[in-house]
Amino acid sequence: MQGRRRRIRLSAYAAVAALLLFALALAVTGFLTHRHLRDAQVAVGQLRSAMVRQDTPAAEVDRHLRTLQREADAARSLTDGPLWGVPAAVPWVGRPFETVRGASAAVSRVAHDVLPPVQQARSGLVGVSLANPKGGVDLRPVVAAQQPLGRAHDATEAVLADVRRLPTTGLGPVDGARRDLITQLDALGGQLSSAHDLVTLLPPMLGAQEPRRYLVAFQNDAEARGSGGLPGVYAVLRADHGRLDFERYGVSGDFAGVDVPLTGLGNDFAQLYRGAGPGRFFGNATVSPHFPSSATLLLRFYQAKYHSKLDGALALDPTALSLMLAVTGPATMEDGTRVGADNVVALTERDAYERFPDPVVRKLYLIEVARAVADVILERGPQKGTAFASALGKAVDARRLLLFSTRADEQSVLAGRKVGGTLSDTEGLFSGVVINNGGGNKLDYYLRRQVTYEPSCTSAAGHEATVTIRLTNTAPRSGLSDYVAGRADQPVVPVKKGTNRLLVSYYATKGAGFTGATLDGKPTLLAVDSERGRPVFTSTLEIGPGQTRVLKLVVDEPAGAKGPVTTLVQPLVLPQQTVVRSACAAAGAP
Amino acid sequence: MRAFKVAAATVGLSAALTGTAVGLAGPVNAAPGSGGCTNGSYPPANSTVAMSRSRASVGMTISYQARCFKPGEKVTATVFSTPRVVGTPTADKQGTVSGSFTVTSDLKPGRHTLELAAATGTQSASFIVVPSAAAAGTSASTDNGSLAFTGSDAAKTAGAGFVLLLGGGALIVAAKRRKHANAAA
Repeated sequence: MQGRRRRIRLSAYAAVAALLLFALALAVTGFLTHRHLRDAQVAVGQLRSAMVRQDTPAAEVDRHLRTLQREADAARSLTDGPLWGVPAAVPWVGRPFETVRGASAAVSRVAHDVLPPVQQARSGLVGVSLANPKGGVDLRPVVAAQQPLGRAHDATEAVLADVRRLPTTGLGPVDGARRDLITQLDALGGQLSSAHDLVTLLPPMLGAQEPRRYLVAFQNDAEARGSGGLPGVYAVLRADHGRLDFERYGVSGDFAGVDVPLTGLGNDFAQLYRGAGPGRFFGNATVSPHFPSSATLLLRFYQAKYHSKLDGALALDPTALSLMLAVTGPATMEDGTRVGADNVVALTERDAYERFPDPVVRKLYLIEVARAVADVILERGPQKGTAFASALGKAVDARRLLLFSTRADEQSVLAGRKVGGTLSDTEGLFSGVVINNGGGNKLDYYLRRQVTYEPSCTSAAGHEATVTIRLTNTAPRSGLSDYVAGRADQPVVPVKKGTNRLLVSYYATKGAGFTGATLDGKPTLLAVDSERGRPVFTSTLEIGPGQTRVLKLVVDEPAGAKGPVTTLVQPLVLPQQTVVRSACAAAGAP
Repeated sequence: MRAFKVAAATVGLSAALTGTAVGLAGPVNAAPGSGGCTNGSYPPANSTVAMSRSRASVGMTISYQARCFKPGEKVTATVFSTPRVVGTPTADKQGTVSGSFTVTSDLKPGRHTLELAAATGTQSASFIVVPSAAAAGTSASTDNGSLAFTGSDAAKTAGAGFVLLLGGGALIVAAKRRKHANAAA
């Protein structure tokens, strides 16, 4: 009897001791896992900054990658045995174990399945010349990057899906780590998806299978249009197995008398742009901020005039050219003029007008500039490889380099990217100011814009916003030619030279309305339209040289629309200052 | 290089022959201020009806203005969908009409159209009628009575429960007071 009790007591001690040991083992492995994961995180940071730099040697990237793999594997092997498997299987109480275990496995998979193929793609593309000896772009390294980038992207998405399935635990540090991991994997997945789209689209669009021809519109943003500026000069770019040649240069006047339909651009397009006639004037074909609409019209004009179907359209402006010239170095024209990053904008959008008062001579001169610049960019750009690609990326980010394809599958990819230049179709809060020059001059070279969006303090419903659009015409009061500072419309009353006329459109949240507007503090009326289902409120205003005009709208946002506010910033010559406040300034604050 | 010069010269020639450099491309409008009234113009103009607000509730006034009518032309302003004439303004010397109307209670919440009809053509723009107070806008802020109930359904229910609770509390307090009052009497 006594012996049996003793045996029970002994085995109870043994059980408690085992439990304590088990708990100790969990604590020690937990601590070690934490340390390895922390070191892995440091390695990820080093790896990221090494990969982003163009000039990092492959060996250095490899070293960071091996460190990461070592730490991630250590964390994984500590947690993937029965020691963590058993408690992880316990309902509810086991959640933190399950999540730490899953996160360790995820980091290890990223280190083995995602980053090595990324490094493989990187070493084939970064820091190498992409120039084809026969001219243009060598597409082979681009094609070679498709498979590893696709693999890395798929692996990232799979890991992300698994991490999302890990339970939240109620333990702050564990849940925080899980959240951070999701955020980072999400960002990585997005970047890999972009990179994969790029290397997948580039070869066919540059004629890997069959030659392609694109309309290239040089948008002059000294005369603002929704997509950027007036397409004064255009060219046809032929791409054949990466080789790039310009076939034809021309000017907007070539399309005088050509009339194209506005069909298929949305029910509200024709109504909104009734006063612009974007199907009758090539120079107005880019009035819309939705580039696919602008590109469709540009291509219709070309086809109507030359009876030749092109494969897409590309739009760029002088600022985009300056970004590219900063990498390639300047071009030299036949007359010895140097065109570089520092002077291409002023030369083409201001100085040319003063040097060549005759518009026909000036257009020829601008074609010469476009050609000299294009030659240098096409020759030296590919040699600069990814340095040049990142200049293109900057232009794309600012909507200064836009691309449209007539092939539906390609266009569906482009439309989801910045380079597609679409008007966002988000149902969330939205704020955009789009200006079209209504004076037929080049005064937008001098236009300064400041746009502020702020929730109203006075609104009891809490879903009202005040939008303040402050415009300044910084043009000099004298010294400009009639062509630059005059008026091609017919003002009702004569205006001072240098006075601009602007169509200022506010693109609001879907379902929003405006409940009042003022111009310089006085009540004003706004034209009420829509584009692609988004409300558009337009003021037509005059703005003298040196004058500032302030247009203020009170916008009633729909109750269901959520932040953050998506903004649309039109690419004009002077950068727009954009301020989005998340809450109204406290009463009495300046 | 040479090929380009030839191409450029050809372009220049064609531009010169057709007289169509951009500066000359602007069509000569029939009358000052009539830009964009017939099939659009270079430079662009906006020819849509302008309004003082696109969202209003019953009792509010909407002002409007529209271009592109014939000077002196009689215009009929009608609100749809149940047609109701809200004005018959006359176009001024520039062919512009302006006027205003009040949103009356027969306009149900939702989208409505203001149509300006004349012999030369019809223009229209839409506005939205919202239940009063929810219209926001400073001019409507006098009536805040129903704002407490503009939240979600859940919030409404919770709010109503809270009100009931308060009401219950008030009843109990009132009952106790009455007791005291009775005792004192």
